Amino acid sequence: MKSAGVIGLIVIVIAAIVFVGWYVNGLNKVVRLHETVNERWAQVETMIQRRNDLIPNLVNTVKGYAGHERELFEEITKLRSQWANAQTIQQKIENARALDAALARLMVVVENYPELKASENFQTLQAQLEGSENRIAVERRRYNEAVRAFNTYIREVFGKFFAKRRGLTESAPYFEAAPEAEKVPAVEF
Amino acid sequence: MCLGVTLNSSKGLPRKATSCKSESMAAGVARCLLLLAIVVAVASGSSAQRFPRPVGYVNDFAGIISPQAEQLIESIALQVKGKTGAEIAVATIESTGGIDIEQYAVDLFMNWGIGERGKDNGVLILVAFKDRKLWIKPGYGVEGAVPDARAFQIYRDILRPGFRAGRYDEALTRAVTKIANLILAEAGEQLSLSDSTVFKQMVERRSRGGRQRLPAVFILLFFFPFLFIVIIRLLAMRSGYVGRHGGGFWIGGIGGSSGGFGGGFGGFGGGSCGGGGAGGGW
Repeated sequence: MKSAGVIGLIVIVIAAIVFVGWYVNGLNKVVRLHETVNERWAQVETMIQRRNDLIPNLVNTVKGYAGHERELFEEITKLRSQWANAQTIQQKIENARALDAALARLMVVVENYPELKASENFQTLQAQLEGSENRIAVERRRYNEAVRAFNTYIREVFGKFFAKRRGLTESAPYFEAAPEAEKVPAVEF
Repeated sequence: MCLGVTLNSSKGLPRKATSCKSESMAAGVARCLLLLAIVVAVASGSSAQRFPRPVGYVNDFAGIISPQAEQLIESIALQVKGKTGAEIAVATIESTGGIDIEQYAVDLFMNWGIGERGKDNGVLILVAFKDRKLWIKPGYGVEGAVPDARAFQIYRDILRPGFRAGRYDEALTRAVTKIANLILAEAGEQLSLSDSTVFKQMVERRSRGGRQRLPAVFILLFFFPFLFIVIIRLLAMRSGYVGRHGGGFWIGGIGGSSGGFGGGFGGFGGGSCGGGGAGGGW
C-alpha cells in the first residue's frame, strides 16, 4: 500500500515536471518565433533601404535622357520619401511593392533609350539595382518563412493558447512580391 | 491504455462512456497523425530540393573539370582557408531543374553552409552546365571583399568568355584565384608563390604521366585540417560540446563523408549568404 503511494507520488511529480516543461517551452516558442519574424523583417528593411538609397542617382541618370517622363519620376521620388513615414510593417510592405512596380516601369521606359542603356553610369546603377533586388528577394523569402512558422503556430490548438498568454495573437503580414516587379527586363551587357 | 479503459468500464461504467472515451482517443490519435502529416509536409516543402553532399572545395558533379585543375583549385581554396578561414567552393551540376540559378545558388550555399558560422565568409561558384548558366555567390561576410561589381567583372571578363570557349579548367582556376586574391588582400595576406609553385610542379608532373607520389608538403597541407578537425571534435565530445550544440557544424561533415578518412571532406563551417553576387548565362 505504501509503495503504491510512493509510486503514485513519483508519477505525479514526473507528470508535473513534464507539464511545466511543456508549458514553459510553449510560452518560449511563441516569443522565439515572433522574434525571428522581427529579426528577418529588420533584414528586409535593411535591403529595401539599400535599394532606396540608389534611387536618387538612378532617377537623375534617367532624367538626363528621358526628361518628359516627369510623372513617373515624381511618383518614384514620392514613394521613396513615403518609406520613411511608413509606420507598420504592412504599410512598409505596401510602399515597397508600389516602389517595385514603379521601378519596373522605369526600366521599361529605359528600354526606349539605347544611348542611356549603353552608358557606363547607367549600367553600373542597373547592376547595383539588380543586386539590391536580389538581396531583397532572398530576405523576403526568409521573412515569409518566419511569418509562416509564426502564423501557423499561433493558430494551432496549443499555440493559440500560448500566444494569448503572451499577447502575441496578431498574425504577421506576408510580403508578396509585386507582380510587375517579377519581370524587370534583363539587359545583356 | 485503451485496453485498460475498456476493461475497467466493462466492470461497472455504462457502455456509452466507453464508446465516448475510445472515440475521443481515436480523435486524438487522428489529430496527432494529422499534425504529424502537416509537420512532414511543411518540412518537406521548405526543403523541396535535395542537394548532393559536398565532397571537397571542388564539387564537379557535372564532370567538366580535369583532376589537375581540381587539385589546383583545391590547393588555392586550402590556402585561403588556412590564412583567413574563408571557404571558396566550386560546384558544377547538370541543371538546376528549372529553378533560377541565383536562387539555387542561395539554397545550395545555405544547405552546405559555406564559410565559417557567424563570419559567413564563404564564396560559391555554381555552374549549371546544361543550363549554360553560372553564378558567383559571396556570403554576407565577403560582400565587402567581393562586391557585386567585382563578382560581375569576374563573370564578364573571366568566366563567361572562358566557358564560351570551352576552357572550363582555365576559367574556373582563374576565377577562383581572383576571388582568393580579393579575400586574402582584405586580410592583408596573399597567395603564397612557393606553395602554388609546388602545386604547379606537381600538376605538371602528373600531366606528364610521371611519378604519382604526392610531395610531402601536399600531403601535410591536405591532411592537416582533417586531423585538426578530428582532434577538435574528439576534445569537444569529451567536454560535451558537440552533444549540446550538435547539428549545424557537422552536417555534411565527417559523419557524412563516405570515403572515410582517406577521401573524406570535413564539411563547410556553417556560413550563410544573402542575395549578393553576380552571374548569368554564357
